[in-house]
Amino acid sequence: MNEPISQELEEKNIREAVAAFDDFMSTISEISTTHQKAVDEFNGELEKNKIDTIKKQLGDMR
Amino acid sequence: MNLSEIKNPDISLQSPETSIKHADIEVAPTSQPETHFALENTASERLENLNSFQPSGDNEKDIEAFLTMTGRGIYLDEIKSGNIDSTSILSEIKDFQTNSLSAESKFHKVLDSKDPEFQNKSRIYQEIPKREIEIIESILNGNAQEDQMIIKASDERPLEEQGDEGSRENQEKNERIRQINERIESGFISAKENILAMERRYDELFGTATEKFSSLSERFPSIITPDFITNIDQKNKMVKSAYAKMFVIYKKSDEQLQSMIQSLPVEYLSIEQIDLIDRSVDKLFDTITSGEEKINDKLDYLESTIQRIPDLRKATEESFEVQDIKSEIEESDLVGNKNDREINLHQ
Repeated sequence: MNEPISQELEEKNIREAVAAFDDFMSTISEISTTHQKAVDEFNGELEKNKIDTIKKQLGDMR
Repeated sequence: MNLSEIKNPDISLQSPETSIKHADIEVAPTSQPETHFALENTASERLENLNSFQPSGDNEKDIEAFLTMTGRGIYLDEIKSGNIDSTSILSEIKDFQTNSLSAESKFHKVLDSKDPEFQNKSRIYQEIPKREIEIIESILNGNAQEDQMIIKASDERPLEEQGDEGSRENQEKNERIRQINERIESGFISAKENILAMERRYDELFGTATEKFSSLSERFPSIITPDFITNIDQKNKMVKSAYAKMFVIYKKSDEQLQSMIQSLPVEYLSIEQIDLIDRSVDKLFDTITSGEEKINDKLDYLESTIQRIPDLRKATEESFEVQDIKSEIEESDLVGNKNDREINLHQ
């Protein structure tokens, strides 16, 4: 037979769940920012490659 | 010397009827025969020079020859010192001469002289800018043709211009770019599926949590307050917004990055650049996968904490069940009593 959970422990569990929501919220916000940054970085590298390639073409032209 | 004189030192809107400042000599009005003759000779000579001009194909030499010949040598030092760009200055002169030609043409049309001398001069003054424009165009176009020739002669020429070795290399590069695009496409499809699955899981957890919180409001009035519920709703909105943002990032990036990669001129990309792009794709999806793992870990933790929230709904249901049994017993007792009473009554 399960022992009855004390009111104190129940309160603690509620507070932990709320803290877990807070934690989850900040984690997912942080990850969405990180992912956006990762995509932007990759996009930036592609842009740089494109510019380098164009420079190469122009360099050849001169 | 002002800019218009530099651009067109000889014939800026000049006409035989006006005093014309030539590159080197001040020309008197055409009513004076000697000067008129001198002017005509000079203009004729200049036109002859222009007509005999043949671009050599050497960009620098042609520009220098043209500017010197047309009395615009002042530009050369500026071009050599890098203060002005030779191509843009040629374009400017061309535009200027086009406008001058138009104005000159209108001017002579207005005069409409039948004088053969005037007509000859008029022809020369219209021929000079025309010829200058032609020369500028030939230098500019000649350079473009030359550029094209250089491109074709370079090591990374377009596929059709290269030999078997170059073709093989370009085929290999095209194949690798195709594979990179496939990885990007499948990577983002998977990222979108994963984010939707994680959002569904979160929704379920949030639903369970809110039900539990609602049922606990009477038992824990100091914790589960109206503000608490509002606060949790706000957090939920932020989480949902982050999910939506991530989905949009993946959807948008999938299209953007593929389009960007497709726009890269493969024939001019080096193998090293393609290697770098490949590694960047690895890095990007490593970051996304790592983020997904982190979200899943946090969801696991969230689930475990939500499970520990006291479940009053269950307790209440159990309580109702016990109450129901008690009521049934009491009811049967009452019925029994009633029956007893009825028996007693009939006895």
